[in-house]
Amino acid sequence: MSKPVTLFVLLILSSSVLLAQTKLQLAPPVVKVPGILIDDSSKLLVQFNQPGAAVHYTWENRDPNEKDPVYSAPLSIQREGMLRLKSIGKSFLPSETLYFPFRKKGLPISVVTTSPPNSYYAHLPSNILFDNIMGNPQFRSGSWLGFDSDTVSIEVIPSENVNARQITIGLLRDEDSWIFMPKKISLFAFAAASDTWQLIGQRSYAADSASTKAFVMESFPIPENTNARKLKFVMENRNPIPDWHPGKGNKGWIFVDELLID
Amino acid sequence: MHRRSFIWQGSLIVSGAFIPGIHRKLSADYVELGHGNKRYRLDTNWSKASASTHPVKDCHEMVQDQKGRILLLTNHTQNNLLIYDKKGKLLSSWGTEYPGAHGLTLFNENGQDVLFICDNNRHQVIKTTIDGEVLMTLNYPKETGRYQKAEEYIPTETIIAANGDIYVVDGYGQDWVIQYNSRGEYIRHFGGKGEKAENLANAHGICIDNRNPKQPCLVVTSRVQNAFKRYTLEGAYIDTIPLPGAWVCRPVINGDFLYVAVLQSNARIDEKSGFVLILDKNYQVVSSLGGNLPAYQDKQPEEMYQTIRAFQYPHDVCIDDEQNLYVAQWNSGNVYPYKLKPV
Repeated sequence: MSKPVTLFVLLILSSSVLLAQTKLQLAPPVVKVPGILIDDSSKLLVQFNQPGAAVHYTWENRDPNEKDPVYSAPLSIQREGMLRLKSIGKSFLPSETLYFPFRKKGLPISVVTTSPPNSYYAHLPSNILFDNIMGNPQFRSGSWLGFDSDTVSIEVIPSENVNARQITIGLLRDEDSWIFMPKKISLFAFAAASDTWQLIGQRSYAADSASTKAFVMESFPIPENTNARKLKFVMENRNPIPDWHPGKGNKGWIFVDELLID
Repeated sequence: MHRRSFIWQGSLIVSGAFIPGIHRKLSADYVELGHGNKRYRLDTNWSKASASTHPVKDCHEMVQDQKGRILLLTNHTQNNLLIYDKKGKLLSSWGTEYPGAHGLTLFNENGQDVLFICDNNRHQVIKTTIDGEVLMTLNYPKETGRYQKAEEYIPTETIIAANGDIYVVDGYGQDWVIQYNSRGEYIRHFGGKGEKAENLANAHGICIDNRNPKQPCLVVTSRVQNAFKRYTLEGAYIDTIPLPGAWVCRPVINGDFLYVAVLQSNARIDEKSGFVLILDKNYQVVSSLGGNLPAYQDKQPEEMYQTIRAFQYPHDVCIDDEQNLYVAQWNSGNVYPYKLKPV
């Protein structure tokens, strides 16, 4: 069974930064890229014009430092992996790190049907969750489906010739905007022989304290003996919002962008 | 923004060492912001007010009165107006009845300072003495024929012309600019929401530009469009000053320059990405405090964004008689205003 991929980020308060309080922190660079699902023509552009500072990047599994390459021209993105970028300058504290988990586009999906989203998002295109455009961090951007119901159901039918071995759902965690990870995600596969939905994966998520804003890709393996012609996510919304949050007692939101089949 | 055409700007995931409380510990000796001849040292500890006795919520706008005092408007109803000296000592305070205190404009009326407060929650503009005595209240402008009820009117800013005419921008309501005479009698309205060049989107601020005495004009914010729009004092549209990426608040003109707090950048919405711009007589950006200095091509500046986290959500700039700047911030952890001294 492949290890579930969870792309989370933690706020790291390093002691070296706490000591260096006489400097201002750089902002992260402005990065323009048409999503994180790549093809042969994918390019990444960076804007960051601050004298005494530069943008460094790395594909290695660590934060960029001043010894890493400096961005100087658009980067051609031809590989899967995590690109990290950071603004660094001697007279400043370094910026937060930007993470871009590039991956190839998913296999074709025929149909996705969902329980009703909030009416504000009901007008979005019917293929919004499988159009291979993914990763805008702004929940109002029009790329996210927002749900405020107690339970969210998303049914997925892969294309005829696809042998689905893993399904990934993209979720937003932005607690300042009352957007939480679901309390629980359950994945079902439809068994035609018995005409029933069978549980093939389930995960629960805590929300005991505040977390950093993050785009979360949750990947669920599909067992080999499963007929994956129809799959269904059922997600339990956070209701009520926990006491530590300013929105305590109210209902939370679930935001979904993109379903990917491998 | 259409989903198919979006260019993904900014972070998918941000992580690292952003430390919210850090600004309180910075000293004026270490930090320099801006470009060219408009560079400043930042002092985040200017205000000596105590949060326990004189708390603030959003710090919305600031002005300097003829006594040289610095006035801050906050929507904290324990003390809506805080009055400082230039060193940051709190001198006095007043105001408990302005829950939506947003816009603060000072006008010298026959030698006396008077204030105009825009209250978002009360849907009113209130004229007061410098000590807070109410002189006049402007209710929602039903004379325009554009409003059915007070709730549709959410004024954000005023400016007063030399003849006493009052211009109000309904920046969180219907985006009309409403002109009254000094007695508060309706004259005309213009701007409003729409797709035409003369229309506005989030008409958050307004000022009168007298730098060319032969052609004074109104400069009105169209914040969602990242622009200022200019009109004659009679409301005829002149042109648009594009400021791509910059959510500009109120324009403030002092001497040859126009100063404006930028609440945030398009590149990082809801991510404390504000900065402060200074424009010259030709409305060209000559300095950016905490942001990039944009290059110009055919009078069009390139996109602006934050480069240094000096501010979170700057909402207004006040320039005192010694050319110091004071920056008030919205939704920034109840932080008091910062002072910036010219280098």
